[in-house]
Amino acid sequence: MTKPLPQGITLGQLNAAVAEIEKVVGKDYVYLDDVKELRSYRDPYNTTDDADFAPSAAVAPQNVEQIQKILAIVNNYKIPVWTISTGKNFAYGGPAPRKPGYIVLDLKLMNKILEVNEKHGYAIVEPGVSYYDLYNYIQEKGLKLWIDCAAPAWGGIVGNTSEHGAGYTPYGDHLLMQCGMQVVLADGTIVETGMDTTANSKTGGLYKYGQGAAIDGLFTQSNFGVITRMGIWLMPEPPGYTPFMITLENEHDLETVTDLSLPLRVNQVIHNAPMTVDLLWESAMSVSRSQYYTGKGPMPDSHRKKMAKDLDLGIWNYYGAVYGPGPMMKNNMDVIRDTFGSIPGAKFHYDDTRKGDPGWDYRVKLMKGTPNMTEFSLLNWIGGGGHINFSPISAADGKSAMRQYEMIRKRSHEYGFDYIGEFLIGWRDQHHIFMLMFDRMSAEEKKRAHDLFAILVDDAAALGYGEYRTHLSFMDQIAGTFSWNDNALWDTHHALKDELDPNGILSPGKQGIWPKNLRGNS
Amino acid sequence: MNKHLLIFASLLFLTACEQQATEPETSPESSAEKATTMVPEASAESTSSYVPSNRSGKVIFALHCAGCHDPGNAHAATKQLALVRGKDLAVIMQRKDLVPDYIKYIVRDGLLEMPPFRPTDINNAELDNLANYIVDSAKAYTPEETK
Repeated sequence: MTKPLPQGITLGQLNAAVAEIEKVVGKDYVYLDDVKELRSYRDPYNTTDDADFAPSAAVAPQNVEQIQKILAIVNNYKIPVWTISTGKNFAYGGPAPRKPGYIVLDLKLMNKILEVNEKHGYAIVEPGVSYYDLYNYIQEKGLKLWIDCAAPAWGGIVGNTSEHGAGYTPYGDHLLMQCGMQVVLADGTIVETGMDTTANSKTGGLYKYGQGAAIDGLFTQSNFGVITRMGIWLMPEPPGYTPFMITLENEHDLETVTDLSLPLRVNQVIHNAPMTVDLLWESAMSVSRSQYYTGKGPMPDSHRKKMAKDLDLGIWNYYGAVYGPGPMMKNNMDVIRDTFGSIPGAKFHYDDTRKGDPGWDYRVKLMKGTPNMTEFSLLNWIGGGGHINFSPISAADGKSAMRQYEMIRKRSHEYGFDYIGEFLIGWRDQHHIFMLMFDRMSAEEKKRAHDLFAILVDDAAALGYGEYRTHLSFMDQIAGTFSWNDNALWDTHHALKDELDPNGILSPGKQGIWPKNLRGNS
Repeated sequence: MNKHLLIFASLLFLTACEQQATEPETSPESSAEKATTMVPEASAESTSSYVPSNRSGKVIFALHCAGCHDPGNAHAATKQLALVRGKDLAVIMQRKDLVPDYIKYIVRDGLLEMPPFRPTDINNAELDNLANYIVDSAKAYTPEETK
């Protein structure tokens, strides 16, 4: 295979830079062989072609000083690096870079848990620490702390948080729970944010904002620096935990359940982010599509209804939990039962009847921060694993939720795909995740999925909705929808980019933020 | 360079915190310079005292494979293999048809629903350990009905 090269870079320049990088990190930590090593840095589930996102090399530094030296080298050659940490980032591009030829800067080997503070409930971790790692550490030490993990638990704290990921315990808004970070800028400068920038800081893990501009967010979903350490708050293990599920019989129940949720959520009667999960998502935890339907196009309603009946699921399945001392949980559950019990056909489910059902069991684990991989069963739905997530933000409002659901379902059916989705109520918003599953062995189907996604971005924008995160393929298109006042926000991003990274070496094109030498060429 | 390591080192025996798999990246004495210095020119010497991990196949399996490949229908790969290959080929730890080279190729390249694993997830020595662990466990496995 011809070595992919970054725009404007010769093979000679790339090889010279790689040789210098090998001296910094050691040859064992520079990955060049396409078959043995580099193939693992592709996104196997993309909707176009692996070559669109093929890196030229990957390098795994082991400490901050090595990162500084690598950045000095690539600044000299003006070769872009694409920073990743741990976890997989599937549905959004995996470890692959935005354009061919970038060198992947893989921080997985920086995997120290630097501190876990049980009294104040926080951890300080390096980018290579996965949810499994932190969970196992806490279990081994017997600390009375919970983590809040992404659904596939091989994700990592720094990666997920900096991608604005969400979890399922009361600490599910990960960036809200982030406290302090260390960042290496493109010129090698190390910056500490928050309280850690004071001498002999004692409060770096406790107070987020320091003094002056709070800049942590600038380094998330962006390319202004390389995050090398992060503080994350951890929830003290509560005295009790009551998870529940409510099955709902009708599609329009989405509207009612969403409207009923908002006051309970913002007043913290329900302590975590409640989720309204569609029938197919939920069924995919137990069965595959072919067990119920082998025809082409979206699964017909008659088959859906049979599946719902067999699996004792609703058209929508609503999950939430309360936490705390027994009497407090009882009070909250009484309010929750009274509220949602008013929906005709609503049925409550608890551990006593659902235990052993993979769909229930993994939600119970997620809502208490126990890492697991059950949600990966979604990849079995049609087989082959091809998927990409369309993730618009909705209001936590019934009509808004229904409008998004109907818009996406209509389009997905028009393009011949199942609607598989869930809504997760953060506080006032909902993350609406539409999992677009396609046969990645079929070029025609991949293209159809790609075309569907592109039109959904435009459809959503026309209704006033934007996405919270996206795949490499659609970063520019979605950046273009955040265009108010003649693209003032992206012009600001670009002004920062040009100042902080004048050679454009850090993750060019990440989330549609391009350095000046590549703007207009994307 | 990294004042946290200084603070951290001084707290090491006072709190529950502990380094994970690797040694501190540099000793506190050698890294006590101010945090905002520019980077020196890349020197010829690697700055790492990094010792590559060599975790056992059992540890790697638990961390990267068990989530999907443990027995039972909560595990995506086991469930899918049961559906498409039959229950006798569903649990990889019980399969006698897998050889180490095949396992190693699939781990790096992925297969259908299974994604590839990077050399930073599982290094080459650990991949050997993993492949041997799976094959040895399968060899030692006796099906229920023949016990």
